[in-house]
Amino acid sequence: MNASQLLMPLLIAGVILWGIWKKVPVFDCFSSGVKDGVHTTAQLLPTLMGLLLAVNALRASGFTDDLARWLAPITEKLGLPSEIVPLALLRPLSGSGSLAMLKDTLATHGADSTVGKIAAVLQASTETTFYTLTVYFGHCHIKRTRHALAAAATGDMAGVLLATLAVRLLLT
Amino acid sequence: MLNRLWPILILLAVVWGAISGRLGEVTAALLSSGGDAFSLCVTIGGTLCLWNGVMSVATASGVTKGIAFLLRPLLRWLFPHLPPQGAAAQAIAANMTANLLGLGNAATPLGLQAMDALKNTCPAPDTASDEMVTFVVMNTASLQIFPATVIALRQAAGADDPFSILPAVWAASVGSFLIAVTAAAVFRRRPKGAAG
Repeated sequence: MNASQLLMPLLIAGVILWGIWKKVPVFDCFSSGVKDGVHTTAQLLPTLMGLLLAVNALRASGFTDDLARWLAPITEKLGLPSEIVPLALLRPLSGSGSLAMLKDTLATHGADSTVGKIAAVLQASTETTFYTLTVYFGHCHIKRTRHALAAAATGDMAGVLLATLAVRLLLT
Repeated sequence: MLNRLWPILILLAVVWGAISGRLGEVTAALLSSGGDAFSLCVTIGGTLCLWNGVMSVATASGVTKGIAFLLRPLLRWLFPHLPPQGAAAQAIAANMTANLLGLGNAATPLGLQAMDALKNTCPAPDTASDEMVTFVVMNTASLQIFPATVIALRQAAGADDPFSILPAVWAASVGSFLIAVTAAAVFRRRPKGAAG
C-alpha cells in the first residue's frame, strides 16, 4: 500500500466527515453530483464517437506511425519519444480526440510503459488550448487577443517537455 | 473548430490508407469505432460520476470556499491591479477552484463570468487587457489535483497502480502553468515601451 493508493479513500472519507460536520445531507449531495456526471458523460459521447472514428482510422492507415517516424530525429533531440507526438499535436485542439488517442496509446504500448505514462501525464497536465481561447475570447467579443496565443502555446510546449521530464525523473 | 478539423482527420486517414495499401485496416477501424466510443464512455463515465458526486458534497460543505481563500495570495501575485474583493477576483478564484477539483462543467461558466467582470474594467471593447490574457492563459494551462478521466483510462488499460502518475502530473502541470503565466507577463511588453 503506497501513498497514492491511500489518497482516494482518505479523500472520500475526509470529504464525507467534513460534510457531516457541516450538517450537509451528504447522500443527497452525492447523488445529485452523480446525476451531473451522467449528464456530462452523455454529452461527451457524440464528440468522443466522432473523434475516436478519426483517431482509429488515422492509426489504421499508418499515418500516425509515419508521422512519428518522420519527426523522430527532431523529437529525439528533445528527449521526447516519437510515439507521443500525435497526442501532443492533437491535445491542444480537441479534448475528446486526445482522450481517444490516449486510449489508443495505452492499448498499444501498455499503461505501465514509459510511453504510456508520458501520454497519461501529458493528457492530465495540459488543456484544450485552442478551444479555451475561442470560447473565452469569443464570449466577450474580443478580436485582438494580443499575446494570449503565444503565451498559451509556450505553456503547451513546456507541458509536453515537462510531462516527459517528470515521468523520466519521478516514475522510472 | 471540429467542423474543420474532423473532416481533415477522416480524409487524411482514407487517403493515407489508400496510398499505403491499408484501406482494409481503415475499414475495420471505422467499423469498430462506434462500440469503442461507447465502452470508452462507460469506462470514464463511471469515475467521472463518482468524482462529481464526492466533489458535490465538498462544494455543499464549503470546501471550495476554503480553497478559494487559500488561492488569494496566488491571485494577488497574478493580478496585482485587481481589487481582491471585487467581482472579477471572486469569479477568478471560483473558476480556479473548479479547475483544480476537475469540475470542468462548473469551471467554464465561472470563467466566462470572470471574463465579463474583467471586461467591465477593460479600456478597449475589442482588445484583451493584460488581466484577460493572463486569465485565459491560466485556463489553457490545466491545474488539476485529480485527473479522473486519465486515471480511469489507466485503470481500464490494466495499470498496476492507476494513481502512480499523480506526482508527475502535479509537477508537470504546476511547471507548465508557471511557464505559461510567466510567458504572458514577458510577452506583454510591447515595442516602444507602451504600457498595456
